[in-house]
Amino acid sequence: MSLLRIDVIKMYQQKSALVIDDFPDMRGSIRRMLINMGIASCDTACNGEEAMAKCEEHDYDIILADFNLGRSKDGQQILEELRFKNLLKNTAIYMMITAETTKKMVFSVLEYQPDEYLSKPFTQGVLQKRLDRLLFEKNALYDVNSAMDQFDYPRAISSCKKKIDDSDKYKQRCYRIMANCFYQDGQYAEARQVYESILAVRSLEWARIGLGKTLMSMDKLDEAEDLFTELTKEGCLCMEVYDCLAEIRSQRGDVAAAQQTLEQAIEISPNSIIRQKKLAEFCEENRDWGQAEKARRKVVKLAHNSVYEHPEHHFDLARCINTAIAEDPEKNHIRQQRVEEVLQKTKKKYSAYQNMALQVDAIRANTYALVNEDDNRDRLALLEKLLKKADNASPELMMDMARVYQVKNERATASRILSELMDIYEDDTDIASAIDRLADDPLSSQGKRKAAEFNEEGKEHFSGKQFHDAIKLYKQALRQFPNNIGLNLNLMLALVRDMNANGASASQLEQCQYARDKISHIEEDNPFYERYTVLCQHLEKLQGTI
Amino acid sequence: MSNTNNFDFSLLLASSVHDIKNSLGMLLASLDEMIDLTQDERPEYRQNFSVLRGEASRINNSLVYLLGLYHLQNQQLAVNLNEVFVAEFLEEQVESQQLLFDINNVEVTIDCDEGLVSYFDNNLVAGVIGNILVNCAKYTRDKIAIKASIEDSHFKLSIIDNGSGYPQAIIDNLSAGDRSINFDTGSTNLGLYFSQQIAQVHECDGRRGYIELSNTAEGGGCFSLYLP
Repeated sequence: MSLLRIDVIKMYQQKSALVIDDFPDMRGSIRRMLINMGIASCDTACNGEEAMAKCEEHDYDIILADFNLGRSKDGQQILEELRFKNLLKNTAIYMMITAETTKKMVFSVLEYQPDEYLSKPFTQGVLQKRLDRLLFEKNALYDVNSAMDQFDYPRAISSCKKKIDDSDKYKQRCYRIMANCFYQDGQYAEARQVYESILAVRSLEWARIGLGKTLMSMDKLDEAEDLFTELTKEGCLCMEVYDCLAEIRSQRGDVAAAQQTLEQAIEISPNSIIRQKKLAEFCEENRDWGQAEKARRKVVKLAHNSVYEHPEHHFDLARCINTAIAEDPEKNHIRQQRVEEVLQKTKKKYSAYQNMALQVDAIRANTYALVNEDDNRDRLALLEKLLKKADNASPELMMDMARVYQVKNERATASRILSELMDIYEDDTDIASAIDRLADDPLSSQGKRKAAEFNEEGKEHFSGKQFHDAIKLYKQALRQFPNNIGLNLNLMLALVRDMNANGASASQLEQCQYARDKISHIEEDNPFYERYTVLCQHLEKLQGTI
Repeated sequence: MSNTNNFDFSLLLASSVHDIKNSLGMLLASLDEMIDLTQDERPEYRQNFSVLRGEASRINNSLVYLLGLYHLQNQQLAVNLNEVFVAEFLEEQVESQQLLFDINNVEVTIDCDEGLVSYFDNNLVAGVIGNILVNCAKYTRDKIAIKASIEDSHFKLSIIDNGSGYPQAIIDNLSAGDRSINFDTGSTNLGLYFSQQIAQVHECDGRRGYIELSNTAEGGGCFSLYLP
């Protein structure tokens, strides 16, 4: 190393550090080592909460965290939360201290890995050597990392290119950062080229994951799936690989496989709330109500005391049980009780939440409507009155109201609520697509366009008598617009045509019945009514054949 | 025997080893502090400390192998290839045993090109090197030489001492390609077995890593690790 010892000490004198360990002896010992190295200031924290609080107040240059912190969050969770909240700069060092040399830590996203793992026991000399090396690297790559901190990807890329052209010592590191910047910046062809050139020489995990994600963004799902599948077979500990695989399978319309993939990931790494929530959504799409409720409960549990804490997780759980009531009338009494329990608990826990009482009543009204409780009329009238006076009713609350009217078969009232909501939230894509999912007909211009495209494509499949393709297409379309009458009718038609040509099957009959039940509320004045009755007759005939 | 005793013994063993290793970590840290505090005032304890530090390190290494082999057996040992700056990596390995070398009066030299870069799992290979270094510190006369280079597109690392060399039986056993090193002959074998396994899990383009043992013309031992 060409730098003199004195320069190294000077370097440490400008740095601040945080040591996170649950053992006071270890904290003290590591802190002493850092002070001996000349570090300017060194704070300590004994658990995740304290560490997060300190990082919110202070930008540390060096963080040393023990992986195992007893009952508190582990060192990896702290790292991921810091990155997620943008509290850890790329110019800073995060070193994970582990008890074992061999066991690898699971990490959720490729870029959420610590800079270094250091295994216990270690001497001051070893810690110093590691830190020296990392500080030199962070120093050398300061331009690159600070550009990353400002999300200035073009600048980070050009800094990397310069280092690579100069055959810098850290040029391999630069390739990795550069490829990621290309990917983040949407320059997929460039990202792919960097990853492939690295992989041509050596099979490195980061490059394989990066290439897979890039291929996915380029819509090359087959190639990406192959890469990710291979990685999971090798026991890859980057959970993003599973998330991507599930996403690919979901995009293909195979939601059962998507659910399975996430269940696999959750077995390895059970504590990601985002993944658990995604799993709940897949389970709901698959109408696997037992698993869906389980996943929703896990979300509530994981959100407790975390940055994700929000009453909506509880409401989603209650809504999930409500949907189960709608779909499967058995054991409704117990389910109704469970909804009530969730609502009571939530009301108590978040008493200060705006419109809490109304929100709870709206979900409860849903349950009552579903189990045909008679005394619901007065409650609903009261709820309507209170809602008119309420300020800032959330879109979730209004969608719950729309659900109540849908169940009570007051479709016009439901539609009015949803279109008023769409007028306000059309620019918020998440809310807009949630409204479209609920509505009988898409209300957003984006949704309308999408539905028209689906119908157009479907017509082509029909004229070519490609009923399988039509079925697949309409099933995919109904994931976005499950209540849409036209799409449900088209799915019925495709299924009937296919069964007429190739014979009826139990699973296709069931799909057909499900589509019929979705739109069984339509009445004689509906322009689709005639088509609907004809298809119902066809369905009945086919049911007789099996 | 009742059925309640029907637990997974290897899992229990692995978690115990894990606990022991944590305690040993604290023990080593306070031992180092104590050596640091007393070595000037009470030089006569030097020999005792040498034994204490050396044996504690050996226990630690043994535990590392046990855990490593446990994970290997359960297919939980994923190799994590990293770009490694070899010179710095080796300096660090020597540094981690520096106290042991100091109290044993062993001089360690590193012969490695400053710019040498290689790809391997640095944590696993650190375990291998640590094992050999601790053993060498015990058996060498006064010198250990570490050499690293690229040979035939393999990364080659040799650790050479000037003691009395490896027993011929162990050398023959290994060069005969006998994978099941005989556990009856001595205590160093677990370490060699571990080293061999770690070398083998490193793979590139169908080539696997391996280890070699020999004795130098001067009679010292030479351990070599080849990685693809």
